[in-house]
Amino acid sequence: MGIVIGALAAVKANKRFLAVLMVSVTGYGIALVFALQGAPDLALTQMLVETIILVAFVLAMRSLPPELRDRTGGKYRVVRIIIGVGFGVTMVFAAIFAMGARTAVPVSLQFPQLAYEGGGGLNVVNVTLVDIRAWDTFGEISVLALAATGVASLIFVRGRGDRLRASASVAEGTVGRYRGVDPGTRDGAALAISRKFASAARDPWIVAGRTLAPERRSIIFEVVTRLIFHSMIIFSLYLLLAGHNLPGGGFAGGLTAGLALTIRYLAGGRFEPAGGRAAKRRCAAGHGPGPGCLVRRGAPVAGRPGVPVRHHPGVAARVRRHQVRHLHYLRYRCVHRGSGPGAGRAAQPRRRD
Amino acid sequence: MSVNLTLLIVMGALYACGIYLILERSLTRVLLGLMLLANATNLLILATGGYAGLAPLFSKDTPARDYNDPLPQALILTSIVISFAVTAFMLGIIYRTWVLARQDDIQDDLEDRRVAATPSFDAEDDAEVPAETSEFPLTMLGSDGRDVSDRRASGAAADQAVDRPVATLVAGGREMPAEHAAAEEKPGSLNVGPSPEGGGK
Repeated sequence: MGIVIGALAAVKANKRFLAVLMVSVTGYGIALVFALQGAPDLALTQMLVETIILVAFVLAMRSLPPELRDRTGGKYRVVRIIIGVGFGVTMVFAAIFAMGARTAVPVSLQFPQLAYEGGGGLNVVNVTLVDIRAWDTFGEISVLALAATGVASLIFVRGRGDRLRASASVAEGTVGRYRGVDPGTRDGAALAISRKFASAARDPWIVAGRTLAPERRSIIFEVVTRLIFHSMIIFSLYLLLAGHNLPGGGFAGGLTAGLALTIRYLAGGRFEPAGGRAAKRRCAAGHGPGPGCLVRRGAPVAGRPGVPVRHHPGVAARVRRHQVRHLHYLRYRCVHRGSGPGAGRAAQPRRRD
Repeated sequence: MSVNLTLLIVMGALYACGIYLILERSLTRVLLGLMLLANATNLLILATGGYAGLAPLFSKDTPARDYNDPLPQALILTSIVISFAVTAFMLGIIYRTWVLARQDDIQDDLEDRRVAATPSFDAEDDAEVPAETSEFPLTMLGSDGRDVSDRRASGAAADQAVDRPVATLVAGGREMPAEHAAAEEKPGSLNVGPSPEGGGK
């Protein structure tokens, strides 16, 4: 019932952030439904996807106005309610009748046996994805690659984003300095204190942390990032490799890795992910579907003898993971591009970049 | 096949809210409605798997019916991924619209409205081709000042019906005598009004 309440609140919300949050509530609620229904893979993936989407929304909303104005007037409101409720009721009855009309034995009754004997895996859902319905998954990967390309072309407004320097060449504490704060005010005093303490000459917790202006850094966030980043990457690798027999899989693993990178970005600013292998990540979407295609057609690329590669979700999953990471990488770019000298932003106090 | 009614009711509510939001002008709300629709569809697919069962992790001594149906789960996994991609794409569109145009809602397309208001018929382009396309008018005058076609009609078909049907053709949705149509073809004729597309210039 929380899902329904969340959906209704999302309809009523006047603030953009509230509406996004309420939709996230429905998403997490549905993850719970998946878990209760006996679908741990779905619950895991839905949870991660909702988190990523929420983070992406928050990052994108830094450049969007907070209010959701210009509601469509009351003239069409009743019509919209009627259409919406009518559609919902129709779908409920269509589902009831469709399922009442099912008489044949479901085809998926053979899937567990097929997955174990043909696919050599215990997790029936993941083996279904990478083996029994492999072409379906190939199309899915293609959609992801297309979307990544589309997002890339949409968010690079002023350039291709490939001029990002290495963090070593950026002067210390220059990213996102507050400007124009009156030193006489309370904010100005806080700023002066934070700058006074910024000259500690010691190793940074994360690589690009020193490029941030001191008033934007959070030592707790940086330390925590340093501590959990590698654990998250290892966990994503575990999910990637365990997906054959246990809940997990390439997409969940890729999302976890993406979340880890997102945390690094949030803590270290725009130069943090560029300190890694930005160019490689950027290329990943390009050659992503290629290996997936080969794998799906059963070409023996690599792998232990006796276990065909196409039965190994890791190979297909790695491709997906690359693409997901690519998407996140694009989001970073999206956000930091949005912090340029825009008309709307100039008036707002600038937040962490 | 059993149906989980609770799931279906939640699904219906999500569908209703999603459709309501997607009919809004604000692009962010449209995106949120799209996400709600995707969630509702996931629930619909999940509901086709029947009641809750064991997680589909294979063990040899479990009969296949005890698992929750793995096929809908695989479909939902695909659906989650694709709706994630669509959401990212829409978010990119919203971001770009805002950065470039400072707009977050769908504007009325004035040009589209204008095109919708103009009738689809354009007299200059869409009229049916007249029956006679030669340079010479249909009504040719003989040496005695009378219409040649009349004379031929009176000579050859004198014994036919007196009220010979006038040669008509359809132009511009109207049926008109061929002579009038031919007159319209002449340059400078006054009975061709300016078309809505600005043919008057």
